[in-house]
Order: sequence, then structure tokens, then C-alpha cells
Amino acid sequence: MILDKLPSVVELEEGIKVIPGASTIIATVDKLINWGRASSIWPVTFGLACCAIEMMTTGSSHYDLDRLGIIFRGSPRQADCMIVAGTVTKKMAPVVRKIYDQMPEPRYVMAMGSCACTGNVYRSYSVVQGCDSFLPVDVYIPGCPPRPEALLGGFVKLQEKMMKESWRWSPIR
Amino acid sequence: MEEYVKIVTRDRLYKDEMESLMTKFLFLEIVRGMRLTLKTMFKKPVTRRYPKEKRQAKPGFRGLHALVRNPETGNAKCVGCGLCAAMCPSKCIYIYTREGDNHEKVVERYEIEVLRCVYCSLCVEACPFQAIALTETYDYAAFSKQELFYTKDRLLKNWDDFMTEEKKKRYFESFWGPKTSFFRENESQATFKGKS
Repeated sequence: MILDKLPSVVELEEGIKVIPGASTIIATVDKLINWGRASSIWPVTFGLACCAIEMMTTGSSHYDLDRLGIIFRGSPRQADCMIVAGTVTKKMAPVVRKIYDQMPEPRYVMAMGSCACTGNVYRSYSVVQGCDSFLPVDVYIPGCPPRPEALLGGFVKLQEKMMKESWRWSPIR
Repeated sequence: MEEYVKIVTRDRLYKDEMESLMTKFLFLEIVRGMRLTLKTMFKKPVTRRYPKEKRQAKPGFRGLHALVRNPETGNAKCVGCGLCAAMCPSKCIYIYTREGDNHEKVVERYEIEVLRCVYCSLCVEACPFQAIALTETYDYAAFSKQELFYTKDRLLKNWDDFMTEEKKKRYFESFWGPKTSFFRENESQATFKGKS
């Protein structure tokens, strides 16, 4: 188009252009919305076992989730990400699912720790063998429990995934 | 009956009033309370800015698994005895062996389901050949379960990537591995010895 022919248009990365004089950024709606989503992930405050302790530590000042725009929300209706932190027992599984169903779209799920991912040592009648049996898990974080850095790494991975999405904001998908 | 009358001197009362007035007007209590907060304003923040700076794990940390590569042959040291799989509390190690051409035992597949591991390092302690190790890597989240199902090649690659010669020596000498001193015979006790 006309903009491509202008010599002053600088391409920052693929799909993002800047006109320096007019201080204007040109990007696709996808890029803009994904950027907004990825830099404000709001997870539900929801812990099931010892992984939740590590999740709290990640929120503390030494690791500081807030600087990535990640703020824990008390209500699933305000959240868009769910960290399944800990052993999911068969009695708890419907409750986890209910909380997931209450979250508005777009929603993401992170399975934190071995228990949430596969069930860990609890090959037992009472424990769900991996929360991906009833939730669509986006990121798996190994560790027993994972270090706070590992959880942060999981969030960075989730942000990567969010940035690659296209047309998720639209009702016609 | 005697009646007691409390006598308060005029000087004392005046002094107390002055003190309370001073604390009220100069916000001395608030200043005292905020001392710690104000002090930290001039200190370096404790936050580690994670994706930019990653903290080195302490020695002896039990992280991602690796199969020890034998420097002489270039293959894994593992002989396929299955002790690690037997010790594993979460039963996440799968070993498949077969008979080789010269009737020796060949480890065909050695797989670890990393997502099921408890990182107890019992497999490392059980191994009589120091053939398996846990490295200091801790940050390896993935998008799918298949990415974290480690086969033999991947585990050997982990060894090349994350273990240096110095680290290996420190790990096996100070933390893990059966040492010869563990197997010293108790001389006062009668032990069974096979035909020699």
C-alpha cells in the first residue's frame, strides 16, 4: 500500500511498523490484542497442595509476578488463566472443572508440578492421573514442586503461546 | 474512714502534655513506624529479574535427569539391570533390554516420564554403576506431555548439555553414587561369600 512506499516507515518486527515523525505504530489487531493479553495474565488464586506454597513464593518480592503483569484474582470470573497447583483428587476434580467453566474466554490452563501433570506417586484410586483428563492444559511445568523460576518459565512459555494466536478475539473463528 | 486523695504535681502534668503534643504535631509515631519502609527506599531491590538473570541452583540440587555417557565408548554407562526402575517410588523409569549378537545384554530403550518424577534421587543412589544423574537444570516447561517423555538419546544429550567434568566429580563424590567405602565388610560379622 501507500505506507510501504514511504521511506520513513520502520519495521520493528514482523507485522509491526512505526512511523517515527507521527509517533504512530501500525500493527494487526491480532498482534495488538495478543500483546495486551500476554502482558496481563490474571490467574485464579487456587491451590490444591504443596505446589501452591511455591506459587505464593513466586508472587512474593524475590520473584515478583507483578512485574510481568500477572496479578492473582480471587474470582474465576475476573481471571483468564488457571494454575492447577497440586494433587487433583477425584473428589476435587468436579470443583476444579466448575471453576474452569466459570472463567470467561479466552482461558488458559497451566498444570504445575508432577501431581497435576500425571498424578506423580499417587497411582491410587482417589487421585486423578493428570488434570489433562478433564481440562485442556496449555503448559506443563515439571518439578516436585517446581521452583518459582520454573513457574515463571511456564508463564513465559504461555506468553509465547498467546503471542502466536490468531483470531481468538473474534466471535467468528 | 480515711479517704485517699491522689496528688498530682503541676509540673509533671505539664511535661506529659507537652510530650503528647510534640508527638501529635511532629508525627513522631508515624516516622518511627515508617523507619523500616523509608530505609528500604535506598536499598537495592531484592527482586531477581527472572528471564534475564537466572539463579544458579545450589550444589546437590535435584533437577532434570541425565544418563551418564561413558567417555571411552561414547554410549550410555547403563547396563540395564533395572535397579533404578525397581527403586523408583513413582515407577516412571521404563527399561527394555534384549540379547545382543554376542549374547550380551543390550539396553534397547531407556525412558523416563519426567512429568511423573518426584526428584527423590533414589535411582541415582540405587545405581551400582553411577550411570544416571540428576542435573541442576530446573526450568523446562513444555506445551505437551510428549516433549517431557525423555528417551535414551535425549537423556544422553542432557548429560552433554548440563554436566561438566568438574560438576560430575563434585556430584558423584559429595552427594551421590555408591562409593567403595559403602561396601566395606564388617569383619565381626559372618558374611556369605560365593565361590571364588
